[in-house]
Amino acid sequence: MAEKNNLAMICIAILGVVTVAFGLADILVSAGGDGTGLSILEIPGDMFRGGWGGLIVLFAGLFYLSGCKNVAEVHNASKVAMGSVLIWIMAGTDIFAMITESIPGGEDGPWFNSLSGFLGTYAPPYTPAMFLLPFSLVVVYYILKQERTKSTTPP
Amino acid sequence: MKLSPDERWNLIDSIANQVVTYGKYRHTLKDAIGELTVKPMAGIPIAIAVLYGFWSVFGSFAGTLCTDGFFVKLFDGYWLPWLQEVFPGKGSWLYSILIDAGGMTNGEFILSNNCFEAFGVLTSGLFVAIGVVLPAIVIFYLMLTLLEDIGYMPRLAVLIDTVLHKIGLHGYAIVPTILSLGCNVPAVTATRILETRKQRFIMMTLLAIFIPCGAQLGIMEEVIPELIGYVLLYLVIGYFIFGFVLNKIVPGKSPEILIDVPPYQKPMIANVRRKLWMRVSSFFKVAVPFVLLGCIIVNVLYLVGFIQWLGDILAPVFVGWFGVPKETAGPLVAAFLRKDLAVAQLSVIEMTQYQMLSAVVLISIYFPCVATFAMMLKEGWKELIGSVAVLAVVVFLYGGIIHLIGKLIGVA
Amino acid sequence: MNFKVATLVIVSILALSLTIAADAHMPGAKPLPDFELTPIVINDGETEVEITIEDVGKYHGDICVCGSCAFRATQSGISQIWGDEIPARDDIRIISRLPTPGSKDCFQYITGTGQGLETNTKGEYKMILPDGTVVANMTKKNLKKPSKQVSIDYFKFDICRISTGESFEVAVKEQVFPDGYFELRKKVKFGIPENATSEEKALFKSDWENIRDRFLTSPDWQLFDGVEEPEEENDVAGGAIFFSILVIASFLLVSLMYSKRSKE
Repeated sequence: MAEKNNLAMICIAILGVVTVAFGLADILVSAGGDGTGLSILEIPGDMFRGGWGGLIVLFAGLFYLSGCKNVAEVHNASKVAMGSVLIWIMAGTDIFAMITESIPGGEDGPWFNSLSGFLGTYAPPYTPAMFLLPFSLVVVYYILKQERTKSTTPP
Repeated sequence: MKLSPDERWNLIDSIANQVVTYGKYRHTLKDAIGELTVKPMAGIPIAIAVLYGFWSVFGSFAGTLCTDGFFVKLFDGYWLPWLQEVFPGKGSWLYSILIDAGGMTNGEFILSNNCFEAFGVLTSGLFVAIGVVLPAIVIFYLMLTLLEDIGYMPRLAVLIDTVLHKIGLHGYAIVPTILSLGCNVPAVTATRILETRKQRFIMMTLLAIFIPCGAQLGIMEEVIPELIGYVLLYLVIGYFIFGFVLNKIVPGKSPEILIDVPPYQKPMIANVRRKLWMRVSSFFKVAVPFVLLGCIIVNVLYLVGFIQWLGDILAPVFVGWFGVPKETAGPLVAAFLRKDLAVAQLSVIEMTQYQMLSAVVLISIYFPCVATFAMMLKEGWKELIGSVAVLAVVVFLYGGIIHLIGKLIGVA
Repeated sequence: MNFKVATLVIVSILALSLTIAADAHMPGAKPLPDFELTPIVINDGETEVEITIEDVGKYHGDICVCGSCAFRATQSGISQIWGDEIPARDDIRIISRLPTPGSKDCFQYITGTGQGLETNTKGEYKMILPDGTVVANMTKKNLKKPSKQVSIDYFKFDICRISTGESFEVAVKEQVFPDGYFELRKKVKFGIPENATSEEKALFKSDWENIRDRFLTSPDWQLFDGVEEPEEENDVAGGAIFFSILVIASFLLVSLMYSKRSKE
């Protein structure tokens, strides 16, 4: 059990460090004013998504780091879960923005987007939060599983 | 049959033994997350994230999908040209009021090519009401209802309680404040949640001056998306500065309160639907007639030359003190009728970015729209007069300060 | 004394060399940037000819602002009118508003109307100033006078397809030139209204280099009005993969919620 916890701690700590790094990168890039990208990763340069959003990704990383030490304990687990919730907010709004962009046909185009235009909206590059999303889901799955085990175990 | 006290207690015990199950209290993950959201260290980042989500969804749905995606095309591409074509009497006063005020170039009447510029009741009026405000209000109230029903709003109230006490309010003042971002009218009613007359007066005054309504936000998102953040920043700063001052000068008490924080829960679809319908429909009963009426009155004032006259009279104040072009007098008059319409009017006036920022902030803090005005009157005429007096001072001072800041940083 | 005379002579020679060079070339200009410009391909009778910017530069003497601008404008105009077709040299008519040697040499080289060019066919090249004046004598000396007045309005070229009458006006965007460039040019090249200071000369040189580099490296839509920015091709495959993941994930989430509810 202790070994399992240690492994969880290491994984969440790594996720925390990566998240903090992404958050800082977001903030620094948006402070510079121009967005930047590395292949399929895009760091937005505007103050809303890069600055404000970057701050949230940074907070998410700090939540992960502050809760990773003993994730079996409920207060720490809640911090880690909250880190994931922040990532979901970021990634969720990015995906929602993609969906809203993909439907209309554009200013001079038809009412609805063409199939290629529609699918093209979902093409890379993606924001850091989108890359963190699957990991945040795994973390929350682990925490919920742990919580369920506890609730079924007699005190 | 009469039972003695002992027998009664025995009976209570036996019933309780049958119906109550005892167990050990266990602190669950849900409880821990609930606590986390009210502790400042964790709660503030969460609040920042929730607000981000709120605005991002608001902008994507109302701006990108509905207004830009479909309504602009519908109104500018089909509705406006069709009305311009079929309505008789181009250039007549009726045509100007109902369809297109247009513009005169070399003595020739030029039709507008979009609904932001036409200013007709059936063109700009309907476009603003349906194309811009409707999606903004629907998504705003949907998000607000979800946050309420999940149980986040009381936590936000707890979180912000200390800050709001500095301006003589308490945590629950966040309810009228956020409601006001949808529409000031129900927010004025919601000030009844506050205990004392002092608190209600401060809240009413602040929300009438510093909180832009959903319609305004929708128009800002459409017309000046790059400046909206700065406008809101100026308004938030003003909200706290003038709240602090009002707390110091308005007599009365600001008592402490106990806030009951319910556990987080799944929102019920039926409840969300009911609340959303109630809010949106009541907003539209108030807003649509005022948008249309606003268009008529503003157009008439333009046609009779009143706006031009007012602009000339107020020019020294506008240009010298506020640092905005004198043409902004027109939108400021219109702002009394509908602030959203006034922001739309600003968009067609030629000015620098900072002037636009100053003008939009001025419109936001300038007189509450006539619907809010009527609502405030209902709450008490003394409060209304007091609010108006505060407002006059605030507009003059704050407008000047914004101009000064612009001068100091070299952008005005 | 000798030293004074020597200095005077050197300065005079330097100044003279600057004046002469400023007429068409830029002495001491930094080397050309790395650029890739596709050649202009035309049919010269039965022969397919590729004209590169280097060919034009060699004919003129160097690759200057006006030469590179004229090359890019022709290239852009041809692609707008002929599309993927290869134009015949004698089907091309170029009407230029720009009275400068660099652009003249470039257009003459492309149309085959310049001196010393041996071509099978010849196109047409005319110089008509913005005020409607037709410049027939295109010698360097004759171009000097109208060249003084050059402003953004002169950077317009009509590329025409003689056989069909189609034509496309290629107008250089205002933002290609820095603010005050043409006033500075007048000062440095012609001493109007007064002679330029050494700082102004240095500024002009750096502006000149930047503009030349811009014409060599920027895409058409950044240089010319009326040329639309090409739409980025949609990465349909990438988008489809992500969209499928989204749909599957949403489906799983909904089914998970329903199964949980039915268990409860």
